[in-house]
Amino acid sequence: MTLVAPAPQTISPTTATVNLGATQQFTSSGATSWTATAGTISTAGLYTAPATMPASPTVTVTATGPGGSASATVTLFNPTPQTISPTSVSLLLGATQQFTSAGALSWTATAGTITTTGLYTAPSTMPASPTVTVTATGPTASASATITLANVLPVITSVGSNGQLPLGIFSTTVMGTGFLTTSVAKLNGTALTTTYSGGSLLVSGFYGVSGTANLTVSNGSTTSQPFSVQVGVPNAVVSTAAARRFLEQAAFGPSPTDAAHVQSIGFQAWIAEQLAMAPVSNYNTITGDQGGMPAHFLTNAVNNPDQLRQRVAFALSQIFVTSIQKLIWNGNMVLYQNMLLNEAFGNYRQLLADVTLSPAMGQYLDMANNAKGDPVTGTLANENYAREILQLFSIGTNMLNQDGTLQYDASHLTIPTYTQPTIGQFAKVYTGWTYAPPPGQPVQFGSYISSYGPMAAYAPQHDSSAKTLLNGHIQPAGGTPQQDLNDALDNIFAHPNVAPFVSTQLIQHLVKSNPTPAYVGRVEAVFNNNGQGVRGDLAAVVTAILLDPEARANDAGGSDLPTDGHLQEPALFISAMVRAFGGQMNDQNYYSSDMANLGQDIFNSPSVFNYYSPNYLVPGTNLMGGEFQIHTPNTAILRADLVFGLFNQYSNPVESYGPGTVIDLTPFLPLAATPATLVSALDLTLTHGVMPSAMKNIIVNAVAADTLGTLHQVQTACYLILSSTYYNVWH
Amino acid sequence: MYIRSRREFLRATLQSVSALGAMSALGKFGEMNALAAGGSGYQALVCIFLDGGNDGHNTIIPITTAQQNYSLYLAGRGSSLAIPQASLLPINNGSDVYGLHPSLPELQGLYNSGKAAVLANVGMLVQPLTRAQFLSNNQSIVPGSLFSHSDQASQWQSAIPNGIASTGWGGRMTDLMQGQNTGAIFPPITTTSSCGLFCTGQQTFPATVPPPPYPSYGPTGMATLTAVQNAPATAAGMQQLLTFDNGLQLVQAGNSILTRGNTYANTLASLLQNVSLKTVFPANNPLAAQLQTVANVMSVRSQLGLTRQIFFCSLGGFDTHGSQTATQGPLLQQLSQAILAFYQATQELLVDQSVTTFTASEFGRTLSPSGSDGTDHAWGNHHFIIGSGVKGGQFYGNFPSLALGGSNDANNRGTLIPSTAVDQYGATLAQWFGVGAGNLPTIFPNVGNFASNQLGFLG
Repeated sequence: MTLVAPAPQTISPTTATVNLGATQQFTSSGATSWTATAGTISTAGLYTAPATMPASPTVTVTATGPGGSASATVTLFNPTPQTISPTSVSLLLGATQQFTSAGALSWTATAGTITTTGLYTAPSTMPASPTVTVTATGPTASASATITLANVLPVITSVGSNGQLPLGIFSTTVMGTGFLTTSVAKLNGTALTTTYSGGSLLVSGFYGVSGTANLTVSNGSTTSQPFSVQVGVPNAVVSTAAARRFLEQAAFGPSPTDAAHVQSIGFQAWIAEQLAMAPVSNYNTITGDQGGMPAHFLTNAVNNPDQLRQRVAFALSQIFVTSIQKLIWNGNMVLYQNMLLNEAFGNYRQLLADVTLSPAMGQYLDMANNAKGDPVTGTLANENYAREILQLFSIGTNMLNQDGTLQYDASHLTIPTYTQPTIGQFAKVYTGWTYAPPPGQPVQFGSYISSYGPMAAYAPQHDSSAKTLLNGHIQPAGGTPQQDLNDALDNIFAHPNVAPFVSTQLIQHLVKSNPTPAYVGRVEAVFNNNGQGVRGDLAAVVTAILLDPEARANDAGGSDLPTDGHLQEPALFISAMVRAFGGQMNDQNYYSSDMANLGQDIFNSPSVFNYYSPNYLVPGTNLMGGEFQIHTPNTAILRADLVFGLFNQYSNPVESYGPGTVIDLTPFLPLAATPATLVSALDLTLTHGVMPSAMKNIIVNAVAADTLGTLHQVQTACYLILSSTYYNVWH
Repeated sequence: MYIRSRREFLRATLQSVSALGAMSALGKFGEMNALAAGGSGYQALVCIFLDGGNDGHNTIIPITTAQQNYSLYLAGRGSSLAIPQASLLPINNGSDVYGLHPSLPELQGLYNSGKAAVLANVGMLVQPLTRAQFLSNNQSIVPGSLFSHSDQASQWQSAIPNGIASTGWGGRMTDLMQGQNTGAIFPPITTTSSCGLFCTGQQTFPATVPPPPYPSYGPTGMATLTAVQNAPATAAGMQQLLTFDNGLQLVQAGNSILTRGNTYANTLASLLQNVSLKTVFPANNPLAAQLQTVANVMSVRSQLGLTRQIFFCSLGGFDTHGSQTATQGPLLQQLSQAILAFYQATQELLVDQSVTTFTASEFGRTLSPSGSDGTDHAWGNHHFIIGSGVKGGQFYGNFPSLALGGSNDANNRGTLIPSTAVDQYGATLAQWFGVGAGNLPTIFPNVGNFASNQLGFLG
């Protein structure tokens, strides 16, 4: 017998597609058993598909016979698919949605809940994913729908007070509905620090452009309609930069409040307001005999509203100089500085008279108790006041053109305004004055300094001989002390140098060290005639200085002349630094000694030539810059270190340099996370928002590299700006 | 570095004189060769400026001289302000007897030991000037703005009698002597007070070193940028800002000042901390404090790489229009005591031969008093030169006649017309310092108008 190997088992068909529940006949020669991975199969090879779709739609049918096993692949097919409606929907949190799915037997949802009837309820808070899948399962199939969960729609009903935001750093309340703990407010697309509180939002941030802007609240997926807010002053008359720069000239630097006020009413109205404002500042609270005036100077400068008056009086105090160095006691310095404050907007001629007869000046430059010459003892009238009133208070030593430039003679030499004999003649004018006696008492020549008012005449010691004064004017013999003084001061006041001489110095103190001759000329014209035929009207002169095109030329930044600017003197630097942050000062401030260390011991000038000369040439340049005379390599370092002391060591953002100074950096802290925003905010605060981008970048990089915490980052930015020469030279 | 553009300066100088050839251009800096060849060591000038115009008439008084006697002084000065003859401190100039103010015993001692000299009636001039020439009102031969503090101080310090000067003769001297300080890491001029033009040159900018008492910020008075030490990120930003140029000249000038301040302080502060001179300087004497600082800086000259130094100190309060007697005496006492202590400090440092101290002041005062027991602004004045290198114990220049309305009087008040010019005074100091005679006109433009540029008070 020969054994013959059976042929290999086969199956037919090898593939088939079978509807659910339907049958398919398979054949396999000599097969003895049949199996299927899903559904059923008879011993005759009749396959019946399952009624519902199994996990896998692919089924393997296997026949086993004499030749081994053979398999076929069945692909199950559902002829009637499950449907669901709607298939895609967007739902607010907590909202419900009815789904339908014919024949559905069960419902599931990946988030939220769904009933057996297909009613879906969205969760009340946003799940990890806002996309939810709802699945309905029927007898043969399932169907899915996608829900995109959405937050509630926020609606803004009000922002702060009438939709008004201050310029720069602000903090306000947004009222409305639909706000969430996760809501984020944005101003013109820039996110603000947002805190949910009892249904409303507290928002804070920085916005450096005044005008209208759109505030929105976003709940992530939903965003409110924009709400229009007014940033800064509504209907501003001048720009933010211009207002701030103006206050560097007309005030002790800009404070946020004063800058907003200037923006809202404009330069002219602000000046008019200042001119009309009665003096607020004085030194009446100084009761001690020594010390205290420098600290009170700063208190006035930082806090008081009569800014322009103070600024002009400060300039006048550096032209008509008296000094504690010789006066020793506060009493008459208080009266003297009060007088300059009171007369800051008065007439120069009146001021000249009041300065001349003030006990302070009488003592400082020896006009008090100045006896007429005595041919027996050989003494002559004291020349001190006679010389300095001409050299420093009125006409200077050289003839000036009306634009302040020097006059030259044919051999290109300057032309003196007076010679020594003229001084000798004027010295006689100022004889015969002493300090006022107590009320009801007789005048006593040689008396000790008093505070009973202007100096008193004492005719027996007055030289009443005829005198030759300026421009050949002959003062006739026989005048009383007062008559001769009036005549002499009229003679000085009539000199053509007065207008350019005084105008130039006021410009240098208020605006710039190197004004063009044309600028001086325009101011000089106002000095000579205020428009109503009055000469020496300081209010008109100051107005002309501040509103001159040259003063206002660079208000928007970026168009400086190479010769522009003037260094902030120490007193200005300190008061402006505190004012810029909206800070506060009181008489317990510690800055008196700092100002002295920086070369400006207030009201204690080393001589009648002031802390510095307005004509000081800045080394390495051909420019005048009086303030640089006290800005030595050493004091420059001290100034930077003064700033570092204030903007480094404090761990409390409310920085108090002693009990007398408060600067609050808290509003800046949230900005530190975005150094560029922080620097923009400080740019607006300190450099009127026109800081060059290259400088900004340097500071941004330093802030970013600062790892000492949020407060220190803010302090670092403050320090770098305040110690930079760009900031220190106001321009 | 303090010399901002020496290379540029050299290049510019070379170019500007290229027609003369490179060798003669280098001759402009011939001082470096001349002195190097001489093997000279250290030399320093110390200027003490008496702010306000010291009254020389009550500083040095003729008692019995060939020219005049005390009585002429008394007549002009008047009894209320004249110093009693008996209280004067006598010094001899040859056979002439003069008296020093009674507050100057230390200067008397230095003079009598040959360490101090007097230069009589020196002041700012354009050219030699007689009373008749002055009274002719020819402005071109007279310094401008006479009797004005500010103008006369500027002229004394600049040696420019008219117009606006931008540099002073101290600064111009150190500009010219740069070859002696080639290894310097510190400026050749140090001021201990507010220095005017004297300290500024074309390339020289002075270092300011404050005297004690020091504020809280440091043991040497030299402030350093605390930010640089304490906060690296801040310091890096600051360094960049110091070179940030927005096109404004005043901003650049400020950056330069701050940069120099930082450099000077970093260089000097640590060196000074290790200095402790034994010489005791008088207390409560602001000039002594300044001169002590000068001595301290001198003591570290080698570390600073300086062989030629100029110092500037000042003492204020000399503008004695009234109550002069009560004011001037204490000031002269401070001057005298401070000078002696400083001289002793130079001995301690073994540089008394190498350091010459000299006084200056913007002007003298009238001989005739004012009615308030003071004196008014005048012109010529007497000054002191102190040091072991000084040919002391004698007067230089010409002591003036004290006759009111006399040949030396600019008017009738004893307003001295100088008989020796500041230019001659300075030129004598400059030549000792190492400036060649040929370069003197660079420093003192009008020195050629005078008979001599060498007054002889230094060897």
